[in-house]
This record gives sequence, C-alpha cells and structure tokens, in this order.
Amino acid sequence: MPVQGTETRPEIARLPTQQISSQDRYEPPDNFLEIEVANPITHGLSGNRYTDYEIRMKTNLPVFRLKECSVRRRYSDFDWLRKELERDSKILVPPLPGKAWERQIPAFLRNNDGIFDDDFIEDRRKGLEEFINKIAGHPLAQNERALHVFLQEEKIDPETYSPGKVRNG
Amino acid sequence: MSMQKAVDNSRSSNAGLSMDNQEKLLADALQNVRQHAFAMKRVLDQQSVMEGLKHAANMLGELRTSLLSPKNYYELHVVVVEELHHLELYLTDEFEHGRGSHDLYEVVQYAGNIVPRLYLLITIGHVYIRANELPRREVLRDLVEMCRGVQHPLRGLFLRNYLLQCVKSLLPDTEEENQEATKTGTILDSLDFILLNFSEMNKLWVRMQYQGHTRDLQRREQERRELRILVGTNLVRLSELECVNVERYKTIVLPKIMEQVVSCRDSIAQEYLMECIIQVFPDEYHLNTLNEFLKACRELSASVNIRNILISLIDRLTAYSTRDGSQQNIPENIQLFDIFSEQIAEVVKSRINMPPEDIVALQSALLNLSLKCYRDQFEYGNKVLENTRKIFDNIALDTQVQTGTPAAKELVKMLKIPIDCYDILDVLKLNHYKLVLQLLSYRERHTVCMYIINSILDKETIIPTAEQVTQLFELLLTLIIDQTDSALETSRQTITNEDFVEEQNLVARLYNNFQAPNDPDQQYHIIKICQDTFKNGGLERMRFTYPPIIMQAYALTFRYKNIREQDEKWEKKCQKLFQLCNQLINTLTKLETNDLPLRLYLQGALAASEIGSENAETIAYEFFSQVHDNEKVLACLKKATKLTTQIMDQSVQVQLYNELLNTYIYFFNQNLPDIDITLLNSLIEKLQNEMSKISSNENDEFIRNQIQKTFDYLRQQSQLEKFQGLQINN
Repeated sequence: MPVQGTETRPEIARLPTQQISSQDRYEPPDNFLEIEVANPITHGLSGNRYTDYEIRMKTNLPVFRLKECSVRRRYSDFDWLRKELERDSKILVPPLPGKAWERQIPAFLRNNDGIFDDDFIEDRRKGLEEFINKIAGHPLAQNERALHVFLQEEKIDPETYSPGKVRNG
Repeated sequence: MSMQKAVDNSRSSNAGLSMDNQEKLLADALQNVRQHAFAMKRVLDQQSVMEGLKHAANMLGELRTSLLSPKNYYELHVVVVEELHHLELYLTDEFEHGRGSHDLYEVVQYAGNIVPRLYLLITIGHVYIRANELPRREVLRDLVEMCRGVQHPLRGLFLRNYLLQCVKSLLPDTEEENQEATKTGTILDSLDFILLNFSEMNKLWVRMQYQGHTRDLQRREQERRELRILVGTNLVRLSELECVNVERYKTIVLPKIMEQVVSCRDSIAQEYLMECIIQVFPDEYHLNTLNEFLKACRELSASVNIRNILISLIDRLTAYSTRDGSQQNIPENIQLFDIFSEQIAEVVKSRINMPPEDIVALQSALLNLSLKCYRDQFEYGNKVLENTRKIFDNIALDTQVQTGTPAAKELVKMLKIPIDCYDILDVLKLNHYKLVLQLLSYRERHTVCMYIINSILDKETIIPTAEQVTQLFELLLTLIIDQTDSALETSRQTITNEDFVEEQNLVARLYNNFQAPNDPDQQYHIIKICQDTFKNGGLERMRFTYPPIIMQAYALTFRYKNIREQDEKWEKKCQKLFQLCNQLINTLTKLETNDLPLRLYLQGALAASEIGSENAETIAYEFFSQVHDNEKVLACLKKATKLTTQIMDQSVQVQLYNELLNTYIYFFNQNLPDIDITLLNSLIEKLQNEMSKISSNENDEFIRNQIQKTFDYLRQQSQLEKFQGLQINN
C-alpha cells in the first residue's frame, strides 16, 4: 500500500519529492546540440586543389565554450580528429566516409572529376555530418581537447595544440 | 559503450517520420494491442487475474514507443484505453461479488517497465477506491505523484490525461472536515490534485518545444497545438468542482494557475491557457479577479498576442453585463470601464512594438463595452474615441491612416460600432466620433459614410432638427463635396459610374428622414441647411441632391397653406420657398438633361396654383416664363413629346399628351414663335387617337374628364381669330 504499512515495509515507501523551481521546470534542457556540415568549396587550381566544408555548430551544453560557432575544415582535419580520439579517449570512434582512392588515380584513367565531383562531395558531406554529430554528442568525446579545437578554433594549429582533457567550457 | 543517448533526441523524431512508415508503425502497434487484449480477455474469463495483468502489461507496452507522431500516438492510446476498460470492469465485478484480490495495488508495481506499471496502477487504484478497498485521499495523492516517473513529454501527457479521466467522478467535492474526511478528502485535496497534475502537464507540454531538430520547430509547434486540450482539461475539471467558489478561485485556484502560465514563458501555452481560463470559468469569477488577471496579462511573454486575450475578456464581460436586457449584473463597486481603460493603457505602454491595428482593436472592444454597459452616459464612448484619435496624433499629427492597411480596417470596424448600437441621433451626441472619422483616407471614409446612411434608412430614423441635420452633414461630408484626397475618384464621379449614382441616390433618399413634425419653420430651416450644404457639391451631385430639396420645399408650401390660420406670414414664407426653388432649378438647367428642370418648373407651377396664395399667379407665371426664357423651349417641348410617345402605359401616356397639349396651348397664347396651329392640330389628332385606346375604368374616367376640359376650352377658343384653322371635332 502506498503509505499504509510502510513502517514495516520500507522498501515500498515513497521517496520524498522535491519541489522544482519554476526556472528548472520550464527552462530549455541543457542537451541541445546541432552540427551542420555545409557549403563545400573547392579551393586552388589544377594539381593543388582541395575541398573544405563549413562546420556550423549550435549548442547549449555547458561543456562547450562557444554556444555558436562556424569553422572550415577539410577531410584531413576530420582524419586528424579521429586519430586523436582513437588514441586518447575510451570511445569506439565511428568510421569516416572513405578516402576514395579510386577517385585519386590519374585523371585520364577515370571518367569523373575525381574527388571534386559534385555527387561525391555531397555524399562525403553527409557522411562527415553524421560522423561529427555522433562524436560531439558523446560525453567522453566532449572531454577531449581535440574535439573542442576541431569545432571551435579557427585553425587547427599543430604548434599550439597539445592533447588533453576539458572539464568545463 | 553507447553513443546514442544524447543524440536520441535528434534522431528518434526523425526515424519513422515518413507518412508510410508512420502508417505501418501504427498498424503494427494496433495489431499487437488487439492480440494482447484478446489474450487478456480470454484468461480473465477463466478468472486468472495474474495472467490477465501480464497480458495487460504487454498490451500497455505498446505505449512505450517513441516512434509515433502525436496524432498516431493518440489513436493508439484510444484503443488501448478502450481495451483496458475490460480489465477495469472485470475487477469491479469481482469486488461486487466479494471476490476481489486485495494486493493488486502492490502487485502491479512489480511490472518491469514504468509506462505499463503506471497505467495499471491508475486502473487498479480507481477500482480500489470505488470498492472502498483503499482510502481515496491517499490513493489519489499517490497516483498523481507517481506519474512523475514518466518525463517523456508525449507519453507523460497521455498518461496524466488517463489519470484525470479515470478519477473524474472520484475527486472529493465536499467541505466537511471530519473523521471521514481524512480518508475521503475534501475540496482542498481535489484542488491540490488537479493543480499538481496541471503544472506537471504544462511542464511536459512546454518541453515538447525542445525535442528534435530546430528545422522541425514549426511542425512541433503545430503538434503542440493539437495536444493543447490535454492540458486544458485540467482547467475544465477545476471549473466543474462545485465547492470552488469565488473566494477559493481568487485565493487558491487562479494564483496557482497563473503561476504556471506566467513562469513558463512559452507563448503557445500562454495564449491558449489565458483564453481557456476566460472561457471555462464563470463571468462572476472574472469580475472579482480582474486586477489579478490583468496584471498577469502584462507579464506575459512579448510574442503573445495579448490583444485577443483582452478582447475576449472584455467582450465576455460586456455580454454578461447586458444579459437578459438588464445592465444590472455588474456590482456597483466594479467600474469596468475604468479598470479596462487603465489596463489597456498599461499594456500598450509596456509593449512598444504593438502594431496600431491591435491598439485600435482594443479600443474597439472598450468602445463596445462603453456603449453597451453605459448606454446613456455618452462621455465614456466619447472618451474612447478621443483617446483613439490621440494615439494616432502621437504617432503622426494630422496624418491620415493609409488606405487598405489593417489599422484602417480596424478603425472602420470601430466606427461601425456606435452606428450598430445606437440610432443616429445618439451617435451625434458622441462629438468625438468625427475626430476618428477624419483619420481615415477617402475610401474608408466613404465606406463609413455609406454605412451610416444605410443604417439611418434601415432603421427609419427621423432627424427632426436643423442642428442635427447640420451635424450629420458634417460626418457625411466625404459624399457631399469633392475631397482633397480623392483625385482618382473625382474623375469618375459622373452618372456613367454606377457606384457614384448609387451613392448619390442614397444621399438623396436621406431627405425623407429629415422631418420636423409640427414645426414647419424648423423644416424650412432644414431645407436651407440642405441647400447651403449641397450647393458646394458640384453639378454632378446636384443632379441628385437638388430635386429632393425642391420637392420637399413644394411639400412644405402645402403645409404652410394648411396652417394659414395660425401663421399670418404663411404667404411670405411660401414665396421664399418658391424663390429658393427657382434658384435651384436654374442651376440645374446647366445640366444637359433638359427635361429635369422642365418637370421641376411644372411641378412648381402646379404647386403654386394649388396653394392659391396671394402671389401664386405671379409665381406660377414666373415659373412658366422661366421655362419660356429658356431659348430651347421648343426643343424642350419636342423632346417632351418624343419622350411621351415612348411611354408604355396607355393611361399615363394619354394623360401626358393632355398636359403637353395644355402646355403648347399656353405657349401658343404667349405667342411663342414656331408654335402654330399646325402643331396644335397634330397634337389634338394624336390625343384623339390615343384616347380611344384607353379603358373605361375609374382612373381613366378622370383622365377622360381632363381631356374633355381641354377640348372644351379649345372649342371655346376656336371662335377667336388667333385660333383660325384649329381642327377640333367632338
């Protein structure tokens, strides 16, 4: 019975309930996180081309310093992040979309624009978006400095970067 | 380790969102439900309660889903609750026959998953209360608290809704504080129950806003709106409790509700709940908590549409105060007008971005209140009109409100209110009415003026004094004279424009309503006012507006004749009237319609001759000579003849021929050139021919007599030298 007999049966007694403040009651929850990978731009000419993407982030998680930010990253940056996390964090890091070696063979051997092909870029974009959202949502990944640098620093500077943990934003 | 948790929010609402997917998910879930329900019923038939509970729990497991849209979840919920009813009936039946199990309330708490657990707990709980197995007060308390276990917005809302429905008739609704009451509970316990349920449901409902990706925000908001009744039901339930009186409403119910409404800061919730409060609780309660309610209005989130809430409240109380035709329902100490007037001012001040049309709408509601609740105290209505004008003066002094804008539309609506509530004589007492009318551009002013005239004509209001006529014309100026802001319109104001014709005809019809009974001098005054006003309207308008004045003037001469015993100046007055008409008709001759002035002169001559006043002859002569002076007299007569040949009605035609002939004779006697015996002869012949065609009934008998008189006269004259050659037979 709810209240009757709980003196003899503490295991079915009810726990005391606390009144929550109206602020806590109605505030937006602290778990808002959305990352978009968008705007692929191919830079450079002929032999020295590369594609990068805009990484747009919105969040209210306390662990992130900036609640809104936007940086540009290329595939190799994602790869770098992946390696850092694999080494230092305890999570099982999901795979990146493929390196697409078959698209990097000499141009005369293929009938597409290689890794600068529009369809390919779009597929890659989707894969990268899925990847970064999975990672950034994981509490253990959120503790790695590499992730914060990736998402919120304008450039990933090997000079100033050193691996480490982040507790609060 | 799972990486999904924090991301679930984003992912789960996307999964299964496509239409087909939803359909399939729902269909599968429903099928499972039916299967479990079937099994449940079968084992219950065999009296196996525990087995029955197991199947019920499995069935309820379908309500654990995160994949269904709210609409589909609702459909599933309906079916599940229906099936759960069987369990309820079975258990109730068992208790009625003394076979009920006493430990089920504890047993169901061992169900593995919380959603089935709580649905079962609620079901068992209310069966036990009814069967007096457990004390009502404690169980109700326990149930409403335990529902906290489900914090998922959609599932939580439906669970608490199920709770509310189940205990509908169980909530204690008594005052007594006695031994029994500690077990059954009192009204205060019910209030606690419902208010807690309400605040938890509101919390979940607001939380829905944050579930899922920002790109789906609009869809989520729509879904929230679809579920609003779940939250509102708590308020309805509160209003159904009989022991809630004004005092309790004021001290407990309203403050607690307001606390949630204001602190949630969610505009969807605030808009809905404020409306809900107004609709669900009786007007008497609102009257006694006006200040509290309005204070809360000011604290609402900036994006809430406060206009509709306030207007809803004002309109409701206005209706309440005039129910049953009396204005007695509002207690003396509650000065509705002052309270709302003040509050509206506060609200407008605190919301700097409130669009002008919203402000006007609020003023309209206040005006409606003034006119209905304070019917004979015009100062209230006047105040509102004055304030409205001030508002726009503060925005931009002496600037018109642009045509077609929402603000203009609202102003038109506002100006129609007094016209609908009062007759025009009372509207004229609202001397600030014109201040607001002046704010509008040509098109809207035009609309309002037409509305005013139509209202006067429909209500058949009589306007008895010259002063009132003057005031009315002030309002209707837009239709009476060319307006400075209607350049485009002016070019189209000719008789070829149907709208213009319709409009001026309406203005002309107004004259019938200008009647000063028993006071011919006042009537004369009115006629003078009309003349003074319409002479500025331009020829195209005079075509319509002058004739009625003239006809009224002629009618007035007859009135003067009738009171000649009492008024020694009657003849002078008639003379003045005829002079006036002379002037007016003269002006009309500038128009191209030759027959209009002619007809009017002839009418005048007729009137003069009937009046028989001292100078009647002179007047009549003058009128005829006016016609004479017109160089186009012959053309006029020819045109009249032509028109007469076109008349369809035989008797009318014959009558007109007769009159024409008389006119020709007159001019013949006046020695007008071009009018000779030949003309007379042809007319006589025509008349004789037509005469044979008319019937011999009473009316036509009169006409025959008239024609005979003409012929008799002609025969007489035929002896004279002048009339040599006249062909008149019998």
